[in-house]
Amino acid sequence: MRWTWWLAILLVALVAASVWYLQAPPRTVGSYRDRAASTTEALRSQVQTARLWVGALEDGDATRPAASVAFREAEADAEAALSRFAGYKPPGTTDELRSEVTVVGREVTLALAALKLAADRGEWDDLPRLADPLEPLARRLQALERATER
Amino acid sequence: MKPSTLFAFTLGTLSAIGGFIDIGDLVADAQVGARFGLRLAWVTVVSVIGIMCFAEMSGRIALKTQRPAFGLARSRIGPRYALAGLVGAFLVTALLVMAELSGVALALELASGFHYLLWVPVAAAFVVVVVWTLPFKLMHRIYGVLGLAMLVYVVAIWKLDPDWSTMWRSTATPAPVPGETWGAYLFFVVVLIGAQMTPYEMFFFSSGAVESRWRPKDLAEMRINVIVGFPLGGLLAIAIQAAAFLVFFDLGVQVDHISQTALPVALALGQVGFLLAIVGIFAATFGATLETLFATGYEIAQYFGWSYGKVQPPARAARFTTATLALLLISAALALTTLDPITVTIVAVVFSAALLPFLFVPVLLTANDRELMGELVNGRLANAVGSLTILFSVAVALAAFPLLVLTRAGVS
Repeated sequence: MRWTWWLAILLVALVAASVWYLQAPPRTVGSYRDRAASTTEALRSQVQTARLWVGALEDGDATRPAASVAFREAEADAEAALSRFAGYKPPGTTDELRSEVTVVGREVTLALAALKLAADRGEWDDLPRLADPLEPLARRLQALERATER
Repeated sequence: MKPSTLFAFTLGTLSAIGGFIDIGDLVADAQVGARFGLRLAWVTVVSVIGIMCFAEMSGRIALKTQRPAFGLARSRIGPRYALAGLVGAFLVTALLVMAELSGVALALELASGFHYLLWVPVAAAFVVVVVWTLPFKLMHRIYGVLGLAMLVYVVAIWKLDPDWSTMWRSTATPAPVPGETWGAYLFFVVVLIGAQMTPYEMFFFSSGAVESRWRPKDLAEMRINVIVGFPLGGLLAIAIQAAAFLVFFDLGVQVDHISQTALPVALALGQVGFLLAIVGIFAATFGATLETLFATGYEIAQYFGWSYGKVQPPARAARFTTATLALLLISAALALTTLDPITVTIVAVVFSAALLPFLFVPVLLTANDRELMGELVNGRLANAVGSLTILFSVAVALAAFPLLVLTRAGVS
C-alpha cells in the first residue's frame, strides 16, 4: 500500500479518537467535578446574561425583539448544559454533587423560562419581578462553583 | 478625493471590515474579552501585521502580473500540491460561507425577533440579488461604508468609562487570568489567529485587484488600502474584546451568541448604539459572505483555468457563476440543518489557522522571484516580516488540532 494511504488511515483514526475523547463522559471523580464546575459556570453565565438584558430593557437601552431572542438563547443554553450534565453517571462519591448541581440547574432553567415566556407574551412589565430570583441564583452558583473546584 | 481613489479605499475597507471583522471575529473577540480581558490583544497586533504583509505581497503580485497571487503560485508549485491546497482552503472557506450566511441571519433575528433559521433563505436570496444586480464597485462601497457602523464599539468603550490602568495592565500581561489554564489561553491564540488571518482575505484582495484592473501605477493606492484597512479591522477587533471585558469579565459571562456581542454597546449607548451595532454586524457578515463566496469561486476557477470574475457578465463566466451559486445553495442548506453556526465558526477558524503556512509559503516564494516581479520584488522588510509570520503560523498550525482536542475547544 502506498504511504499516502497509510497516512490517510492514520488521519481518520486520529480524528475518530479525537471525537471519542471530546464526547466521552467523565469516568473519574476529578473529571466529574470538572464537568460540574463547567456546568455551574455555564449556568451562571446564562443567569448573568439574562440579568443584563433585563437591566438594559428597564433602562430603555435594548430593543424588545433582541431581548426576547436573548432570553430564548439563555434558556436553551441552560437547558442544554443541565441535561448534558444530568446525563453523566456520577462516579464514586459524587451523588451529592450531582444532586446539588441539578437542583440549582432546574431552578435556573425555570427562572429563565419564565422570562422567555413573559417576553414572548409581551408581558414586559413583569420582567423585573420575574428577574428577582436571578441574583440569588447567581450567588448560589458561584458558591457551588468554588466548592466544586476545591 | 477622486472617485477611483474612493473606490480603492472602499475595497480596502471592505477587506478590513468584511475580512477582518467577520462572524469568526465577532464571536472570538467577545469570547476572548469576556474570559481573558485584553490579555490576548497582542495576538490581534500580530495578526494585523501578518495579514498586512501577505495582503500587500498578494496585491503587489497581482499588480505586476495581472494574475492573482494564488493562481500564479499554484502554477509554479505543481498541480498535486496546488490541489491539496485547493481542497483544504475550499473546505474551510465553504464552512465559513455557511457561518457568515448564518451571521447575516442572526443579525436579522436580533433586529426582528424572528428565529434566524427563517432568515437564512431570505439572506441567501438577498446575496443572489446583490451579486446579480449590483456592480462590483457599488457592492463594495455600500457594504464597506455600512460596515463602518462597527466603529460604535470604539465609542462604547469611552462611554463605559473604563479604568485605563486596569485595561493597560490586562493588555501588558500575556498570560491566562487566574482560574484559566495555559491550554485554554493558547487555544484562543489559535482561534484569534484563525479568525483574523483568514486565507480568503488574501484570495479576495488579490483577485479583487485583478478584477479592478489595478496596474503597477496603483501601488500607492494598494498600499494605502493595506495600511488603513487592516489596522482599522484590528482596532475594531480590540474594541470588541475591550467592550466584552468591561461588561462580562467580572460577572463570569461566557459569550456564545451574537446577541451577547452586541449587548455591551446597548448598555453603553442605548438603543441607537445597539441598532448601529446590528447594522455593523449585518454589514460585516454580509460583506464576509460575499468575500468568502467569491474567494471560493476564485480558488476553483483559477485552479481549473476557467473564465472568472464578478465584473464579467455571468454568461461569460458561466462555470464560475454556477460554482458560486451552488456553494451558496449548499451553505444555505447546511445552515438550515440547525448546525450551531458559532460552533462551526470556531472549528472552521481552527482549521483555517492550521492551513496558513501552506498558503503563505507559495506567496512568499512568488514575491521573491526577481524575474517575474522585476522592480516590485520583495524587499528586506517584506521578507523579514513574511518569514517571521510563516514561522509563527507553523507553530500555530502544529498546535491547532492538539489544543482543540485537549482543551475540548477551550472549555478546560
